[in-house]
Amino acid sequence: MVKTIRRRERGGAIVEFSVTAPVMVLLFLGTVFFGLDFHMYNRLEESVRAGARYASMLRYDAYTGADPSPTRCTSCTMPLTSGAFFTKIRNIVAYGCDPSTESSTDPSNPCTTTPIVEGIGPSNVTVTLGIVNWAPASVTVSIVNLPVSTPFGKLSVSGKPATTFQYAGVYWPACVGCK
Amino acid sequence: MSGAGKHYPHNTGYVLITFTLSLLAVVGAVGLTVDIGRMYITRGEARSFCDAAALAAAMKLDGTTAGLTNAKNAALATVKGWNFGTKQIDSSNATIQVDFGQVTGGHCDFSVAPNMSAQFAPGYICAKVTASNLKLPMFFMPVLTNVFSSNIAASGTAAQVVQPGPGAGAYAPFSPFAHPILQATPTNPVPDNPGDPFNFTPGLRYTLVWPNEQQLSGKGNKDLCEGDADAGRWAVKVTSSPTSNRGYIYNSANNLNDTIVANEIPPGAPVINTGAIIQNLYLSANGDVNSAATALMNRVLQDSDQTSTSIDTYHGNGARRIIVPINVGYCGAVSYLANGNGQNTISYTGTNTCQFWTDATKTNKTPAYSPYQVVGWGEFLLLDANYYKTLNGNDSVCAVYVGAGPVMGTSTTTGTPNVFKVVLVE
Repeated sequence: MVKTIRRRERGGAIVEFSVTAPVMVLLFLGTVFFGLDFHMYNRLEESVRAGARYASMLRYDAYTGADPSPTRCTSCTMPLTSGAFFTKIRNIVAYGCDPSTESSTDPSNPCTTTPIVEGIGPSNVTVTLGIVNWAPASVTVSIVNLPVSTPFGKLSVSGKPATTFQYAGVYWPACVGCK
Repeated sequence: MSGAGKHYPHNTGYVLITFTLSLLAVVGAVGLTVDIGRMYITRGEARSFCDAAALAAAMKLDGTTAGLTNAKNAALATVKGWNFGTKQIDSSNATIQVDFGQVTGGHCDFSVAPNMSAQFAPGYICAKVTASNLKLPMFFMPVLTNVFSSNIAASGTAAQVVQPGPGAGAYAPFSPFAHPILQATPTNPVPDNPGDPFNFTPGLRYTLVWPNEQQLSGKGNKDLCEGDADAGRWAVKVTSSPTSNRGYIYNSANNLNDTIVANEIPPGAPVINTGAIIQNLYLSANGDVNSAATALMNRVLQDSDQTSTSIDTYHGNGARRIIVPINVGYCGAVSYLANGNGQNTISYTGTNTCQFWTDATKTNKTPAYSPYQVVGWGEFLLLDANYYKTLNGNDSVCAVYVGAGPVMGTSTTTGTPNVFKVVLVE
């Protein structure tokens, strides 16, 4: 009789444990994943802010398109988009610095292409210029298509975090290829 | 049997009780992670908002209370999502405060608020944006505590910083000539506008770069900018050799681009304060007007308003507003310039012969080497890009006079200095 009861007790505990354990495991896993993901989002928020702030001061050297005033570029061209501008901002958001410009200024502390969060690269950063009457008025930096680990698999973060700064830099379209 | 019967539910409940108790602890841990994690994120979002808003505000400060109002509106118009980008930070869900301060001891000091009933707010070059009471709902904390939402707050401070270089804080490679008021000379009629420190009339075009003398004589002054058109009465001596006083301080194409287009002070540029002596306004070969005109055209192209013709209708980003030092040549024993709204005059009693033609016959026009003295700063609105594009090598280069210019942030008149950067200071 006693044996039977003990068996029942043990069995009950196992049944209860089997019911409660997944809940606990899920909660623990969720806590860990959410904690990591929130930390990642916070880093992204900071990085996007830093990138937007940098972009707002950076010279924009390309033509903005439908400018009604002709330029004085002769026998040379004026690019319609600035690869250098966007590359620099994307690098700063993804790596915290721009390897193409910063590695030479401080050889002891070179800028490396170490992602600030797992999986991010320059292609995950979108930089959009707000143009008012053919002059840059604002710059928006956001994260796109960045895979984020969750207990249920990978999710893709798109369009956030995003930050917009008023453009305070110098808009100076440059002629390229002048002799 | 009966003891065992008592044991059965007791032992089983032990697991449940343990589970329930540990669940509370785990929910507490989850709450710490999730809710506090979200609080940190929200604070980061609020900080982004404040930084962006403070910078937007600092860009609008121009020494006037109207500028302060513009700055506040610019700050409030800042777009920033929060709660993972699902909502916007604005006055409906947060308390947004915008403060303006002056710089004391190298730091922004917000203890003295500007007098908004006055027309001017000199020295207010700092903007601080504080977002508070951003209520973030808590998901897990209410399970254990009575905290249902958390108030998030952040702030950001931005200031205008003068570019290093010229002490007056604004710089352009041109120095237009003030119109002298020849008070005791009967051949000179009523001054143009004695109420203006430079005897200029706001709204008229004045000359940034002059044509050379031959051109001026040959064309009978008719191609001068309209404010200078009656140049026979006062005009600057302009010769082509050896030093053509055409209004340049710095005239290499690189320097023009540095100062006009890139808004930077060229290396080795002279310090120009009010009262500074400019030994030479540099020689400009005929073709150099092209460099100046190109630089000015590119400057106009930086603006979001490239077409308005007066400062009253202008609504651009400030690129077309430039501030230049205005000079007067030394002239022997004659009071030439009304300074301080005509109350005081600057006079020079040395032996230099006047740099200006003093009458329509242009007789008194030697020598060409005297220094020039900066008597103040004037703000000009550049004309449209096509105007500067079509200038030829010997044309005069014009801009619309707006008013006596300020040293940045200490302005007691209207006008925005053009050589400054806005930076976040906190």
